[in-house]
Amino acid sequence: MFAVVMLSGIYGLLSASFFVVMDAVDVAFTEASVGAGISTLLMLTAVAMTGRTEHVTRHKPYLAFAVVFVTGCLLIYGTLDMPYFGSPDAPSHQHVAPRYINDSMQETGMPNMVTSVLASYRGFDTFGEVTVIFTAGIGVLALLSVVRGRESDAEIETLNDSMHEQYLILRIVIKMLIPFILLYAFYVQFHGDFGPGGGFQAGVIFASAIILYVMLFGLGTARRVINQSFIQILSAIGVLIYGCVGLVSILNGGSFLDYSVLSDDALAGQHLGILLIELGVGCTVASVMIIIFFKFAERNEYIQSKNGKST
Amino acid sequence: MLAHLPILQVIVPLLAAPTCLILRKPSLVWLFTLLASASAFVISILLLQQVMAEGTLIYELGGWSAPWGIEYRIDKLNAFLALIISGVSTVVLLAAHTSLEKEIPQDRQTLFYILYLLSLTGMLGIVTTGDAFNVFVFLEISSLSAYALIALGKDRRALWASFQYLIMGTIGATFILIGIGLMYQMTGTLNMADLASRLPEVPQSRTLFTAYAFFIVGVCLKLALFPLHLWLPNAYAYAPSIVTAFFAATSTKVAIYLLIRFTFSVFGVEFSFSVLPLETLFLALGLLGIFVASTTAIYQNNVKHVFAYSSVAQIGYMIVGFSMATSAGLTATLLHLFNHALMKSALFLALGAVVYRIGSAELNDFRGLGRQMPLTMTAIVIGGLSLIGIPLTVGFVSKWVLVVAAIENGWWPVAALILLGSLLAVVYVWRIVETAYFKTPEPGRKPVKEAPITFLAPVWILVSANIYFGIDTRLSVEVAQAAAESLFGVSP
Amino acid sequence: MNFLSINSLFPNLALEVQLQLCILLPLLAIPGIIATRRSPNIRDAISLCTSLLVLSLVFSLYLALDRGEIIAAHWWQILPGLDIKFSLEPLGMIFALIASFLWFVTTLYAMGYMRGHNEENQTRFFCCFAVAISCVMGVAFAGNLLTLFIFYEVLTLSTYPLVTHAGTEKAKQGGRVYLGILLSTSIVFFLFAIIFTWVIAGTLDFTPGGVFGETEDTIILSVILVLFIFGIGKAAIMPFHRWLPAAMVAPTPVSALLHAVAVVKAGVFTVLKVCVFIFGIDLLEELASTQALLYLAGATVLLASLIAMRQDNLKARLAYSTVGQLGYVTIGALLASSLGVIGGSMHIAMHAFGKITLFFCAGAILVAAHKSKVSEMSGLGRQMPITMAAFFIASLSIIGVPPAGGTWSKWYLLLGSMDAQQWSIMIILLLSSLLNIAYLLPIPIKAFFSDDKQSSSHAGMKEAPLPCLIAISISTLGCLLLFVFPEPLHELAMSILDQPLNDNSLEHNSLGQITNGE
Repeated sequence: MFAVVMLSGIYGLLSASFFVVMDAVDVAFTEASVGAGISTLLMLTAVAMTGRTEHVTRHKPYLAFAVVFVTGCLLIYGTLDMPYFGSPDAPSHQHVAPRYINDSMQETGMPNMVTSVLASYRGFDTFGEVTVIFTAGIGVLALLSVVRGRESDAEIETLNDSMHEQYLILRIVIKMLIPFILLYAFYVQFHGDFGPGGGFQAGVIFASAIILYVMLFGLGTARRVINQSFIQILSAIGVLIYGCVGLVSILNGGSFLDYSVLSDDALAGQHLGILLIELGVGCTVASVMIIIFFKFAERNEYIQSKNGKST
Repeated sequence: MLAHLPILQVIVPLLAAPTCLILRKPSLVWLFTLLASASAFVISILLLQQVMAEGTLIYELGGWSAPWGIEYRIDKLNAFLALIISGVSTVVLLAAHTSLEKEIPQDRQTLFYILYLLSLTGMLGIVTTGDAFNVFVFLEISSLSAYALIALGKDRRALWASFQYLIMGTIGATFILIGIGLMYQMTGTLNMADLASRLPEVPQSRTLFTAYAFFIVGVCLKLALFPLHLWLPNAYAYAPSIVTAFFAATSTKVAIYLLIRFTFSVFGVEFSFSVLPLETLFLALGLLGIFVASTTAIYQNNVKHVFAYSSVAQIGYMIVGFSMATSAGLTATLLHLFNHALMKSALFLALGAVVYRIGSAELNDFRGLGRQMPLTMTAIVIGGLSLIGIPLTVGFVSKWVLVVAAIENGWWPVAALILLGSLLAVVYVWRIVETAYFKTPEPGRKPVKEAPITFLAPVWILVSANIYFGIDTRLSVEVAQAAAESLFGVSP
Repeated sequence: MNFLSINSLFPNLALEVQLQLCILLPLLAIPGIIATRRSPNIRDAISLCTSLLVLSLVFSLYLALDRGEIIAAHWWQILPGLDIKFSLEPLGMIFALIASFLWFVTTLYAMGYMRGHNEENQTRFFCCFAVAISCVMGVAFAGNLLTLFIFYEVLTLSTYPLVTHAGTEKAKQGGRVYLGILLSTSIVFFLFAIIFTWVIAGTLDFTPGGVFGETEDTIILSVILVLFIFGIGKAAIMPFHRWLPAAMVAPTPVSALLHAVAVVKAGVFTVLKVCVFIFGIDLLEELASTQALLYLAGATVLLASLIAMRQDNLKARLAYSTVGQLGYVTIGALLASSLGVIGGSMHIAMHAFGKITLFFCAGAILVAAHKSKVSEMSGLGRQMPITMAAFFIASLSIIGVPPAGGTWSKWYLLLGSMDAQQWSIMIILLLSSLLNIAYLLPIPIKAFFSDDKQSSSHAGMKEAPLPCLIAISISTLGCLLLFVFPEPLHELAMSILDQPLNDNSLEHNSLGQITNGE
């Protein structure tokens, strides 16, 4: 299973490079951070908890293989009539795309078309996606919560010292890097409308900084730094910010998530709206990733301690 | 406010969910959830009235018109489904506080309600939107929350049931996404109405066939069509009782809605039924589902399993109505959507009351329950009679309309088979009746009290609805007929 | 006889209201029965009073019908074009009259029986009884097939607790067969036939002359007829007759009222209604399946009588006798002759009185002498003279000889079979009378005239409890009276086929056949 996780991480990274070749840098960014980064990390944690190799199954997976084969053939069959890769006559380039390309700057004031589509034209989809992430966080909270006693300060110190010895170089380097990672996260967050970036990527990067910290400094120390209930509430606040922007739009006379009514100038309104919702996205994404990782790590710790006690 | 009803239908439960996280205390959270669900119900009633009076409602999100922005299109079909979903959700929530006391640990109850609200949001979002990708997004929300909710069941097997559901559900969702992606590629739009007008212009290509095929298979996984139903019995049996009562009435209905919407409104009847042999395929699978599932239900020892398999059979009935590709058949399907939601939510909620009192849903533990929990058992008996199709219940009306549709279509053997399926229902319902009323409880078991009023009230609301809508069918039949006819006319 | 009717109490009660009250009144009595469950006397008094009230309502309706008034009521619409509605016509009147009268008599009997037998759960018993009677009224007054079907099904369900009253394993098994056969036939065949009729004819209303137009395909209609006959399981046509003997696990008052009167009569009543008002006797003659079904009914009659002869358990013997007697009514309906219809409808009444008396006697013997097998009943006449005498008279009614009322119905059935030139049916009818003699008469004869050892062992047994005896006497009197005064019944039966009701331009010739007054 370790091999499977690694392979899927490599797959994620390769996909990111495809997207770069196709000039879809935003998507590549997200794929790299989420698909190759966080996912691999979380899956590794899961593998650590469950075990490296699969139980040997008694039945041969013929049915599964047959289904996969048929699906694959059907997919290939479906590609036969597809428009050629990159063809300018393809329907997807002819229909809705021209307006986005031509008018996005005037209508939303945003040079980054990806962000304008994501956050403004199809902002409701993004709202849905944020809710999906929030749901995942809640699901993990509901299923993986472990009741554990509070560790004493002395215990935390001992752990800290032992880790200091084990990972000395890493800790020192990371300590220097974390602020820059955080800063970069903020940069990606607030410059998403001009360059590649946006709430999702920023949130993931922010979370990865925290995760790095947790990995190298231990859960006990990390819990002191990061308040658990604050993080949970932050994830809720992210979604609420997004929703409230929409509600304010309604109260101002427009439809839900219509940013142009948020201020007197339509473009300024768009800018404000997008800024706020991206903030909401970033909050939720970051906090959910941190929650998930914390829960996984706590569970891992719990299992290790149980195994430690039994042996 | 009235103009914003379409979006409020989804936003109210959606924003209520994170708010619950801030509220923290379980009793407060329960009241808040109940309030949110009740508001969604009221909104759905207002929406249905508006749609019946004015016709299809269109709401543009973000101020951008379709197909560059996302729009919500509410026609009679959507409004009908939103009514069912929010209505069942609210009534079921009335009993939630009591039920959760014994099924979910205190510290997880707030999270339970959040997931419940998210599930409600997801389903409402799927049925109200007019954008194909938006459908997928809300499908994700409802699926993820469903997996988590099912895994919260007390029984250890709930985890495995949820995992099975997760695997099959994710495959289904992935297939749906592939279908949507291919649709976008061939037409350049994600808006359903726009797709409907552009798809006929695309030449009958293999890609389109693939798109439709993947989409249909994905949806069939979600609606538990035989033989893709394997996830359903365990998921319904081991989930917390409130969850089962809610999902049994709603989650597969939403998938059937997607099937109907995409077949009739997006792809169009002629295309859908010619590119795949849907008529024969769905007829065969529907009938097989009815008979195989009903027979399996007879041999189950856990009453929740009995009714879960019964649900698979009832879905078979709906698919048989769909396969006729006539307005009458579709009316029968939509009518049964409504009626089955009433039947199953009543039954599973009553089962929840039994579980609350005796801690198990095994058939053996039902012995003598007829005397000790008379009101609850009467509710189960009436629900069972409704499943069989006794007159004066909703089940009878559904069967009547379906058989009339079959005979009008010239499918006489199918009509006979539909009625034969009811006999199997008699067997598995009567097993429960006999155990509860004829057997004496095991010696040494503590006497059991009747269920508390917090359970009895919602159960009997639903049971009375079963009888009321079996007698006064104006709401269900008129709306179902109107929705079916509008689907056969011009696309909305 | 107006003083007997409700008009003496409530002179201005509209006929429509009276009609609906017949159905609702038993249901309204249920809360009263439940509330007074601790005081058995008051509770039984409520049952008794309600049955008297219903009887007087029905009688008043009869008088109104006789005057030529149209009585109908409409409840609500279930689906577009499908209503729950009621309308009164002579056949329904016959059914309602005997059902309400015999309900009163049975309540008397049940009071004696249940107390004498120390039965438990009497409250539940009387409540379910009330629901069952309400359903019977609903069936009798139904204005279309849907209404009839609804009450028919609810009747099945409400009698299930009565059948399984004892709560034992045997009762459960009996209940399974009962419910299984009745529900299966009604859902798979009856409902199918109804829906088919709805789709083809467009209406389910009972119409004189039938609802099918002239140009319908007779093959499909034949199939529908078969579906109807098999679907109306309560008429106990073989092979769907097994529920009747299985229902004998019920306490005797249940067997008496329900399985001699209410449930089985609902079945054959429905058969008659379908044949006369859905198909119409002219159409019946043309259908291919009528002949086959007629033979099936005939076979049922013969086979049931043969099986009855071999039963030692008295109730089982009476049950199979009922199966055979129901076959008579079905024959009457399928003969496609107006005489057959008259005979069949009269037989509903005659057989009801006769059979109920027989069951009453069987129950009395069970309670007083604790005997259930025929072989043990020799010489019982000494101890239970009234019971056995009643048994004798009732047997005469079933066999069809004077001075019992069954004579007339059998007479008309024979006439009907001759009119329709169904000679084999005529022979079957005569043969079965002989068989009836064989399995019924030995019982009272041996009871009175046997001198063997068993007689002495009966010493010390008394007659049945007083309420039972009163009930038995009333029903026996009914058998005799129906012989001497058959005119009201006969007139009602003849007016069934009038088109429209009580049209004076039609005359009756001496044989009772309707002519056009030429």
